[in-house]
Parts: sequence; C-alpha cells; structure tokens
Amino acid sequence: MFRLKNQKSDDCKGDNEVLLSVKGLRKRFGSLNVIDDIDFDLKLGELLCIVGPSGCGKTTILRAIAGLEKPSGGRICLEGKTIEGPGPDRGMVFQDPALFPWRNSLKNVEFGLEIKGMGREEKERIARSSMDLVGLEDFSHSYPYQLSGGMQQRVGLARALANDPEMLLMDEPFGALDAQTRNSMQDELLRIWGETKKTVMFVTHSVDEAIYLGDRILVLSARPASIREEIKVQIERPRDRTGEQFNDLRKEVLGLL
Amino acid sequence: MTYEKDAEKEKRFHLLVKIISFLAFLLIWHLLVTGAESSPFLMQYRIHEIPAPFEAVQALVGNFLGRGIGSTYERGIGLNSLMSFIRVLVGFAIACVLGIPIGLAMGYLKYGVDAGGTIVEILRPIPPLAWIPIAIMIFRENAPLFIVFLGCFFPIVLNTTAGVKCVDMKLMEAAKTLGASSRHLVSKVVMPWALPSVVTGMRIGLGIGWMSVVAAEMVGVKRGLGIGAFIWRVYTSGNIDLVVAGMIMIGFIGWLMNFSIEFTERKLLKWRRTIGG
Repeated sequence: MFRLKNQKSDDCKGDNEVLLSVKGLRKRFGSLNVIDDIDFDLKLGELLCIVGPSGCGKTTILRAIAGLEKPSGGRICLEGKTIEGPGPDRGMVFQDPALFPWRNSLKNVEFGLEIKGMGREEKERIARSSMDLVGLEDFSHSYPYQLSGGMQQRVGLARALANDPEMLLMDEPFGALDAQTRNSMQDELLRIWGETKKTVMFVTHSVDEAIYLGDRILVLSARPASIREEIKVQIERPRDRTGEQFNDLRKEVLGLL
Repeated sequence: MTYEKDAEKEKRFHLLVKIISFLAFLLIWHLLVTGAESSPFLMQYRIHEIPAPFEAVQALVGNFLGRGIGSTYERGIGLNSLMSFIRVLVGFAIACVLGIPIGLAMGYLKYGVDAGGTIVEILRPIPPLAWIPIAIMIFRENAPLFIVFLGCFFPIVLNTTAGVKCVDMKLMEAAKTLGASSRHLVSKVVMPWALPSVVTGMRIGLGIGWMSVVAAEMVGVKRGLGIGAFIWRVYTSGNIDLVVAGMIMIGFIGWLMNFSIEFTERKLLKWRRTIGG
C-alpha cells in the first residue's frame, strides 16, 4: 500500500521553489461538475488569493487541498508527495471559525499539539506563543462564545499556526466580519504572514480583499470552475485601497468575473 | 450598580415565592385532611385517615431508625430507603457503563442505528414494570435492580445516540485538518459534543429508575429491605402515617438526586451559553 503511494508520488517531483502543485484537478458531485481541469503551482512563502463568482467551486479546491474532498481526477502534490487525506501539514482556517466550544482559547490552540502527544509544558509554551502572535495573549481562558467574531477567527488562525504547518489554507475567513474588523484582520494576516513566512492560500469572494492581500490572484470562471486569469499583483505593500493602481486592478478583475 | 441591585432583589423574590408556594401546599394538605373529619363526603373516601403534614413528618422521624415500632418493620425508613437508593445507584451505574458505549456506537458507526435502532425501539415502549415477572423469575431478590437498570438504560442509549448524531461536521473537519485520527475524533470531538445530551439521558434515566424501584420492590421483595417493600408492609398493617412518611422520603431522595445531577451538569458544562446564563 505505502510503496504504491510513494511510487505514485514520483510524478509529483517538481522544482524546489514549488511547495504545492495542482495538476489537472477535477471534481464532480454526482452529475454536478464543480471543478474542471485546474492547474496551478504555489511557491514557497507565497500568498495566493483565489476569487470567483459565488458557488463556482473555489472552496472545493481548497477543501481538496486540505484533503477533505477526494478529487475526481488529477493530482495535488505537497512537497513532492501526493495528498491522500487531511493532515497537520496543511492548517485550515474556516469561515465559521469551527472552534471547539467546550475548550477555552488556549485549549483550542493546543488541540493539534495534544494529538501529536506533546508534553504539557511544551504544548502550553507553543500555544501561548501562537496566541501572542495573533494578539490574544490576554484571552487564553475565554471560551469561544465569550469572544467576538474577529477574535474567534484569530483563535482559529492561532490554532492552525500552532501545528507549524507547511501552508495555511484560508476559506473566506473574514467573510462574516464587519468591514472595519475585516480590514484590520487583513493587516493582521499580512503581519503574521511576514513574521512566519508561511505559504498561504486564501479563498475570498471579495476582489478588494484579494488585491489587498495577494502576491498573485487566480480568477476563476463560473461553475465548473476553471482558471480564467492569473494576475500578479505588483503593488507595493502596504497597499492603498483607494490608489490608482489598486483601482485599475479592481476594474480589471471585476471585468473578468 | 442599579442592575445589580435589581438582580439581588429579584433573587430574593424568587426564594420568597418558592417558600410561600410550598407553605401554601402544606396548608392546603393540612386543611383538607383535618377538615375531612367533619365532612361525611370526604370521610367516605377515608381522606381523614391520611396524616396531616406534621403527623407524617413525625412518623418519618420517629421511624427513621426503626425504634419503638412494631416488629414487622423494625428496620425503619432510613435503612429501607438506603437499600433502595443503593439499588438505584448500582442499576444506574450499570446502565451508564453499558448504555453510553452502545449509544456512542449506534450514533457514530455507519450502520449503528440499523443494527440497534429497531431492537431498542421495540424494547423501549415496554414499561420497566412489565418486566417484573420475568425479572423475578430470573433474578429473584435482585429483580428491582434489573428493573432500575432497564428504566435507566433506554433514555441513556437514546440520548447518547441523538447527541452523537448531531455532531457538528465543521468541528470534525477542523479536527481532521489538525491531524486527528478516528480515535481522536471520537474522544476529543464526538464525546465532548454529545456530553450534554448524555447527561440529559442520565437525568431522565435516573428519574425513571427511582420511580421503578419503588414499584419493583412492592412486588419483588415483599419481606426484604426497600422503601417500596416498606410502604407495602405498613399499608397492609394499616399504618397510613408511615405510608405517607415513606412517600415523603421517596420524593425527598428523588429531589436530591435530581439536584445533584443538575449541579454536576452546571459544573461540567459551563462552556455552554444557556438561557439561564
């Protein structure tokens, strides 16, 4: 069994810069064709945004990478190995933060470490530094229901980061937040991304968010999803949401949707 | 500040209403049975033979340790109640040990409900008391224990299954992306998620168990220890004061058991945001 998997992963070999590579990905749910032949690579340390019309299957792509959906065709390779299921090497942040309501923030962040069988002290040390990183050091003992939506998302992010994954998969994590919180969370994400140098794949339906965050944007077509356009964002950070370059790019992306 | 004051006042008012309504209940009871002596209509139904609250409590206290009362029930309400209480605890414990894993399996395994659902749904509507003849036949003097077990078992199984069935798939997925194996999923997601439901099943089960033990003892252990057996014995010897005293004891222990489970529930499930706060 295992040998077979390893053999299969030989096709996965690529260049060293590439962390994740998606080749000919297809997904059908029954007769519904959701993803139709998608290819793209993700470079180490890159922040890639995916935008597309709602219901186009962008979340499905992310879930396939997370290992939560089995592709109907094609291959997803992480560091030269085919993805066969969910694993701690890919941290996922959900739109609904999906925190465990019976655990306080710190215990939520410790979840993945607990599963690795880490000792109590080490576990707590890592979880605390992860909480520090997202700026929630004072809320370790709060339960999810005691936190605001933005704070819950930070806990979700800290939980994913504590596992020290190869990459972060973010599924419209700020979609349910109000506009101000959303903007500040975007800045927070950029700061954390800068500090941790994690590779991030970020799904959003907001063109502004994609342009503000991404090194690169994949614009998807309506279902079945295929890549309509790949755009490199050349604007210097911190980006001005009302700047000329920003507006031009916004016009371009909106025109594609 | 004012809000706090209001809350304080409200708390005191809650207590006041509780006390007043309870005293009113005792008063109505007292008036009914004492007044019955002058009403031929009520006497016809022997209402006047029922002890007033004070007399019942007096009988309860006087008989508690079983001294100074006739030889048939010399062992007293205290020891008889304790025996019933132990029966309920043991039956309840066995029901938990068997019922929770079965409920988990029925809820979590793909074909769990197919395997166990029909059997449970056919056995469940049979009242525990209908099992008494079979129970006496097989378990003899331990029949009440079996009846208690049955009374506790089904609510525990069904509530556990229901709790597991409604587990949030988002949380399961989150756990998987954090590296959880299926063993971890059960112990760290499914079980904590189902816990409130399991506790509800335990509370319902304990209530039913306590109710069935009395009836089972009345039929099953006529001469032995047990509050149900005790009540039946004092009834057949015509001591209505002690019948009511025994009933008070049953109510009091049932109330205590429910109170302690509610208390545990609050401690255990403080992460839940409820209407009660």
